[in-house]
Amino acid sequence: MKRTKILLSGLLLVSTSAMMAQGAKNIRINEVLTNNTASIQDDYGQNHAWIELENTSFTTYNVRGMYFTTDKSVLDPKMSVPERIKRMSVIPSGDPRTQIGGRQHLIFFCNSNPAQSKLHLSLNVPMSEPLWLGFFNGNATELIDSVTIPALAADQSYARQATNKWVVKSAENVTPGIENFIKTDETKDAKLKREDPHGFGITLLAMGIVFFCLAVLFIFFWVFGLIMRNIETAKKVVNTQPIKPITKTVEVTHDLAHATGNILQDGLKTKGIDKEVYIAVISMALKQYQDDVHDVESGIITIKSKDTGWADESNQMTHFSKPVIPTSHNAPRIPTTPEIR
Amino acid sequence: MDLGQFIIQNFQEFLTYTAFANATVGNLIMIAVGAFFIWLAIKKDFEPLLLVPIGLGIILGNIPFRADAGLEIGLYEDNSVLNIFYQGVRQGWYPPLIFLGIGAMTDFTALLANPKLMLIGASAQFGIFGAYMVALAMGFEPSQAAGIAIIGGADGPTAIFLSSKLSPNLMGAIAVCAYSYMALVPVIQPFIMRLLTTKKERVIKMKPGREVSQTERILFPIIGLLLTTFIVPSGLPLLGMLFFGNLLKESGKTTRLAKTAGAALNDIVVMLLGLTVGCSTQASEFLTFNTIKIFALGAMAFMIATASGVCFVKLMNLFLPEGKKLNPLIGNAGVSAVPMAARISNNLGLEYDRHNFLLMHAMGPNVAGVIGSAVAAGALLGFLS
Repeated sequence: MKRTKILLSGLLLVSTSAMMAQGAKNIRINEVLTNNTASIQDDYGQNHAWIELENTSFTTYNVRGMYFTTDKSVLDPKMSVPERIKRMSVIPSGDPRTQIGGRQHLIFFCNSNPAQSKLHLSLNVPMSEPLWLGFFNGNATELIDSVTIPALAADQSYARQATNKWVVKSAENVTPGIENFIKTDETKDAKLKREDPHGFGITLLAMGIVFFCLAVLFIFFWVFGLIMRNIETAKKVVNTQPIKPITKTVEVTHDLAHATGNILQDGLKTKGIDKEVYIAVISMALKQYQDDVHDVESGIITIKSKDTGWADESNQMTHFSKPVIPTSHNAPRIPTTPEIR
Repeated sequence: MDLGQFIIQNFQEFLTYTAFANATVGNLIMIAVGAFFIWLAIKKDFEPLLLVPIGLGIILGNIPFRADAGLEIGLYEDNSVLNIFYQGVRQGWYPPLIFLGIGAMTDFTALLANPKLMLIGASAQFGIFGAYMVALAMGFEPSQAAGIAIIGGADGPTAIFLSSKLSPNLMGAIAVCAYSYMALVPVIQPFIMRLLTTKKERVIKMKPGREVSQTERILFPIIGLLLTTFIVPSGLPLLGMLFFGNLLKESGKTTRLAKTAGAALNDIVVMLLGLTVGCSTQASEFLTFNTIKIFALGAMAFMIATASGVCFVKLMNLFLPEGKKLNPLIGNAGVSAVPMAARISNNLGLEYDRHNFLLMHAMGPNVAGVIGSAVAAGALLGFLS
């Protein structure tokens, strides 16, 4: 039992960390501008080199605590974490803007003073030289994304295309904070209208899919049903035993009477039949009572406390064979033994 | 300003806020429609659980008020209470919750006892695609046509789910249309069933299904989920919740959860869904020519679905040996109006042979129709979103 718990906890831990890593993997470097003379300015009106991150998923992800670096030596797997961190620039926590919404972008200014804003990093980005840029997870070990940027002219950017290839974009085509390439394709509706104006294609495809799905289910459960039937038949054959003579009800009642004393005493006078019926009714009522709570309904046996204004024992007793004595509803209610209706 | 003037001025302003000052003919028509729905539900017993909330919702959504007053009370006004409830419809999270309840209430035993009935559930989805083609011909965009056509699946939650994704502007009309026709199943279907079957076919007696083991009943939601969602992942919210609910029911260990999903939770969602869908039919949005077209297409989709189900059973009978033939009256149950469609099969069967009980046989295609319509919605979503 203990081992199972440890195993389950381990599995949970592994799957949680895998899920977190999966979220981080959706963040990628999208566009970089190293030589900013006339591109976007920060809140202080200054031009800094900038890096744009994109969240490629549809889920919000917080990038606080993740690292940028331009020092390739951190790729050495033997390097200790403190050594790595010394060579990296952390994205500080405490700014809600580090939370990137699904399909959204976030810009970080480099060569700056982190005291100016949480989006200003001290990361050293040389202006007109080629450089390697790495983006690491919060453990400073797992590389999430990297790019080697060529020497860029003033206000040129290096941007990722939809095919994951990188291109240099001229100053007038730089797109900070938005998608790098705006799609101008026709809408799906327009395309469908042109290619399948009467809807035959979609009808055939979609009906095919519906039939295929249900046909696969049909075949699976048809075969599975046959197997189950064979197994059931085999089980029945194995479990078949010669029929033993059944003990008479009266004999059983006698035996029970010995064991239970008073309960079946009266029943014995009527060969046990009445009490058996009562026992069955009580059992059924208890079952229905436990399964669901019912009000007084037709077809439902209800267990209900008996209303009585009197505290004497005779009124609290349940008389199965006598009709229920009507009592005043205004009288104080005393919880008593269950009454079966 | 003296007190008298103050009172008169404010009273006059108050009058501009009242519904009497803002009512339009459209509002009054829609209030009458809402009242008619409630009458149908209570007096005629047409799906009261659906039509009472929708009917009152229609009335509620058409109480006129000054829209420029910024009272934040209207369904379409941000942060109003009704708007918050409506998010369940707009964002599409009521339908999967209803599917959870359906799964928790549905017994797939009839289907598992005779798995070939699943194909009838698939055939009835022709209604959706027949209506899709006609909607395209009527000038609707493909995504709008798909949203409208799904009415043919006879599945309110699926219709809301798909239209909220593909054609949100038409969702109010589509939802009201889908639920109205579901309530009108007893009126629409019998005529088509009689038309397409002979007297001899209507009295075909089917053998009772075999006993289904608990292992099969537990495996069905798991295997069903894997097979269907691997083929149509876009149907995941609906199919996932349907099979989840069914697993709760069949596992034998989560009876309490199954009861909550099938009773209390389902009832809560049905109330909110019905009310907000009704509210969404504000006269200015609802009383358009498009709504009339949607109602016409919806009726047609229902008829095609019923006819294709019945005809498919007749087609299957051509290949089935004597003694294993199916009664074509169960074909209508391929639409996913559970259990109304199956009840109609049974009633019609009893009409022609009072010893021929078709209910359990019809439940097979009926629950297959639920899966079929969710798969069809997933397929359309995949193609058109």
